[in-house]
Amino acid sequence: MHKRWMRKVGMVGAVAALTLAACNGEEDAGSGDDATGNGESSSSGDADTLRVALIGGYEMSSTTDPITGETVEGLEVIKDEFESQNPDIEVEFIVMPWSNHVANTQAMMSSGEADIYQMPGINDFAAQGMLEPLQPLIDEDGFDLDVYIDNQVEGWLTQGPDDDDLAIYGLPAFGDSRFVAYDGQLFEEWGVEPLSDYPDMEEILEKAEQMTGENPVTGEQNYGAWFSGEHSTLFQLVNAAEGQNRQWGEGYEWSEIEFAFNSDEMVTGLEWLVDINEFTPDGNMSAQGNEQWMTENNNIAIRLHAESAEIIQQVQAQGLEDRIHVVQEFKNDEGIGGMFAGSPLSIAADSENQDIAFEFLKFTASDFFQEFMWEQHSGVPVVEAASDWASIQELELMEGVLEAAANPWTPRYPWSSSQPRYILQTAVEDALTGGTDAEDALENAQAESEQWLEDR
Amino acid sequence: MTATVPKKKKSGQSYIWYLFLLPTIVGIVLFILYPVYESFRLSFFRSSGASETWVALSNYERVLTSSSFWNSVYNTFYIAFFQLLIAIPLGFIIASFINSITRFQNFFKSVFFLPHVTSMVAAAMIFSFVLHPEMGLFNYFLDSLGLPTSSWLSHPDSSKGGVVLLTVWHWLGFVIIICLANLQAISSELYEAADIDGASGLQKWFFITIPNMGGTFAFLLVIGWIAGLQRFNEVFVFGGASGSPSRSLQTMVLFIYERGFSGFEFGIASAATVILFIIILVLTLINLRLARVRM
Amino acid sequence: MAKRRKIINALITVFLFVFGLIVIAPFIWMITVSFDRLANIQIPFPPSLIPDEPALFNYELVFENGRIFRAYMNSAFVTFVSVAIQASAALLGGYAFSKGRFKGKRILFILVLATMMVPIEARLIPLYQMFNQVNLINTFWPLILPTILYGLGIFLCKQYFDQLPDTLREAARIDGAGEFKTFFRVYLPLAGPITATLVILSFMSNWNEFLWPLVVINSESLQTIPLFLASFSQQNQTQIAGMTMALATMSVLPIIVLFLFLQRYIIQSIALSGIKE
Repeated sequence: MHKRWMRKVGMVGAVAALTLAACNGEEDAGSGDDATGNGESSSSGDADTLRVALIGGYEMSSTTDPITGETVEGLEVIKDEFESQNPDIEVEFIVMPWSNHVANTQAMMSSGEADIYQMPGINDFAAQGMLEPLQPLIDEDGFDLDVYIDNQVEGWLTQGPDDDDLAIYGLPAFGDSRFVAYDGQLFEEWGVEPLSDYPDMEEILEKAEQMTGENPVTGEQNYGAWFSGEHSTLFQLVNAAEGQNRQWGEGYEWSEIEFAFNSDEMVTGLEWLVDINEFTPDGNMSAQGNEQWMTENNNIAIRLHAESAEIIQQVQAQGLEDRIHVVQEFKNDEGIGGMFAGSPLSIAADSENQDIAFEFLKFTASDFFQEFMWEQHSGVPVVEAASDWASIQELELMEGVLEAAANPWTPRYPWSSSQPRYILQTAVEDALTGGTDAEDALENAQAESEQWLEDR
Repeated sequence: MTATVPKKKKSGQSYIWYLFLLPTIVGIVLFILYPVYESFRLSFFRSSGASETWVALSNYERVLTSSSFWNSVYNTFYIAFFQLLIAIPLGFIIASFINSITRFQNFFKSVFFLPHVTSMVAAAMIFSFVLHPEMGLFNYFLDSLGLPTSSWLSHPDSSKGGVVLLTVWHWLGFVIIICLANLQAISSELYEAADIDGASGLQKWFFITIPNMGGTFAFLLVIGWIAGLQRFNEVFVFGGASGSPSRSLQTMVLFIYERGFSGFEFGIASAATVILFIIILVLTLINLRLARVRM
Repeated sequence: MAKRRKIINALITVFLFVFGLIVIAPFIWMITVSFDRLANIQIPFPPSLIPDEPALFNYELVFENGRIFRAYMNSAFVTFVSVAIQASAALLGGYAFSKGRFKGKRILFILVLATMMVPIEARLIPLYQMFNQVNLINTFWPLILPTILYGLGIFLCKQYFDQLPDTLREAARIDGAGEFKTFFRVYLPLAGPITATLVILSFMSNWNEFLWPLVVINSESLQTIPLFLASFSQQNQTQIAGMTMALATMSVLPIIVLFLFLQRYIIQSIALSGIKE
């Protein structure tokens, strides 16, 4: 019985297999077409098509937000608007995931797959000579950089292979900032004074300690603080050093860079993080334990190194406008500090459509684009004009968010997409999980980073 | 190739077989011989894809003196060792149980095999919740039995344990199927003879079943080691390219991936590849030797 | 004695039921959470069989946000073509090694067996560079082309054709059929069972392939199911349990259903090959 059945399946399979094999040349060509049909890899330099490579979960058509259930408009809106302003141009978006984006970008650039790239790792690509310097285009066009929030353009300054000074290789488009967020209601329940606008390390540690344990009002287990122990903890550490008037090191080009990962201030900062880690939920080292954060059952008092998207998206959806407040990360005596975040857009040096590409860059500084990103994707605006928008003024915490976007450490840490970042992150994780003490961990990171620089 | 066929039909006939094998031959040259040669060659160069500089053995020196490489070797072996240590005996015992009952045999086979048909990526995605330190199913289960819980993936001391749990869960069904196939192949005469001598079920299991399964265990061990050395999917989903937390989940393939595709240090990655390849090669040769013995 | 045997049998069965339940508990939990409207806001705890607020919301999300379908189509396309190529190449190759007489046959066969010892990890970087040089990164080509070599399949096919008598060939030769005709007319129709095994093994490995696609596919619109799941999972961590579990269910269920239908053959195939990946 089964044998016969199996034979039949097998026969069908065999025939299908061989027919397919016979015409597999065509079949595969089909797959290539499919790919280009989606706007993926057309390599022709058709002057009418502008190819824009973005990173993240953007969709062309609208989608539903998993938490709020609201509809989120897709990139179609952007495409339609830009095309109606520039009738001879067709825009194609290529979207890649955040995971592995450096390697993906490298591969796409080396095969010339797009004209414009979302470019968070701008330093490495500019240094390879793969990006077009923008100053000439800006001058020619007379484009006024004052439309951007302070420091946003400065944040992305970097050096090309032939530059002696920092130059513009990307213009801000996707804003983001890092700050400290806290739940005012938990503070109240514990009878703790709200955080000051510019808290220092001591204040945060003290208050986190006070609010860890059983909540005196609700009886729930509360945690004084939460931060992710993965990927980005090192930036919190670097910021702690900045709060003590130090910095990660200095230099810009690899040949000039000198790391100071083992400075006293870094050690103090890491020890502080280790102390704070006592007051976080267990899972924070694998980016877990914050599942209730930004919900009405929140059990976390202070969120360190908070990202704008996570706060903005949910604060309104969950009705937490009165509970969640934003204050600044650590600043040095000049009022500067905190990681510069977000992504600029850059033009590929080998793009044949540089003029149109620049038009698109200008378009991303328009209210239309910035409001779209803000309203649909909770992106922090990068333009000065945003502070007048009603939707921004309505949301009290945006004042802190925009302030954080205006005075971070700029330019962006030049090593933040390279091996030293991972080396430093490992040191932080080692210290936080009790494997090594702070000083040794940072000594190791310093030695390893220096070795890496030397071997480059 | 077929151009010279017409004259001598009989010997010319043999050329046609190369046509049958054309895809395979092309595949071997393009996708095996050339890449393996390139891996060796690249391991002697410093390369970021665009430019290459001859550096002799310096890549090997850097890899072999790097603590993060040895850490990745340790992680790889640790996870594989405990996976095999738990999964093989457990799978064998369950297979023996299934083999001993008369009803539901197929049902149980399917149930235990289910995890194995799930892709490792999906399984890891589910387990990142199952192993959640506070709201995870597994800790809840341990807790309700009064057993101590663990922070699993969020602490470097326990993260490998979490991965071992996942891999045992995922691989168990495979062990059971292989064990069952071989259990059923043991000659029933052996058992009948033992029955005549009045042996109990447990005695038969110890003195007939287990000794007859030696080949199966060896086969599973080698297959398991080889797969374990190639471990990537689950640790990548849990801890990314650097195997967070604190590189406690960075396996050898993750090390290669991180250096090769996050840092574009192709030379270093190739040197590590060659070392991994040699280890796998040795194990596979052992496997072939065992397979010959079994046949 | 028989009674004692029966009790032991019952105990073993109960044990297997309990242990089986533990093994599939993650699946049960996955399905429960996927139907929980509130699970995106908070992981349901303590776990329960029935969601607090049962709803199809998470599935609507998965459907509306659409990428799962695109990933399905991509996976289906890549897998279908790869399976077809692998099965054809293995049948042709296995037949040649079994029935053919030609120079270098032994060496070539050993070479084919040796290819099974070279995992993708050992070739990752050169293969990547090779496809990058011809501008085929971020297309399906790098996923499909290397499947023309299928060592395990050739080995299994050779063994299968070895069992079929040579007399069939001679009969065909007398009728004046060439080698290809003989293969297609006489042997291929008899190769049903081995083809089924090839299709099953090749399907399972191609469908679940992860590392190589991760390296060569950049854009989200070309992601296969495992790539899509991994990037979704890494982006959202354990933040939105409901939608994540709906996605997991959607990706796991078709394979499980397929397995339940074909379980006997799948299990046989795997026992036959002894090797899955």
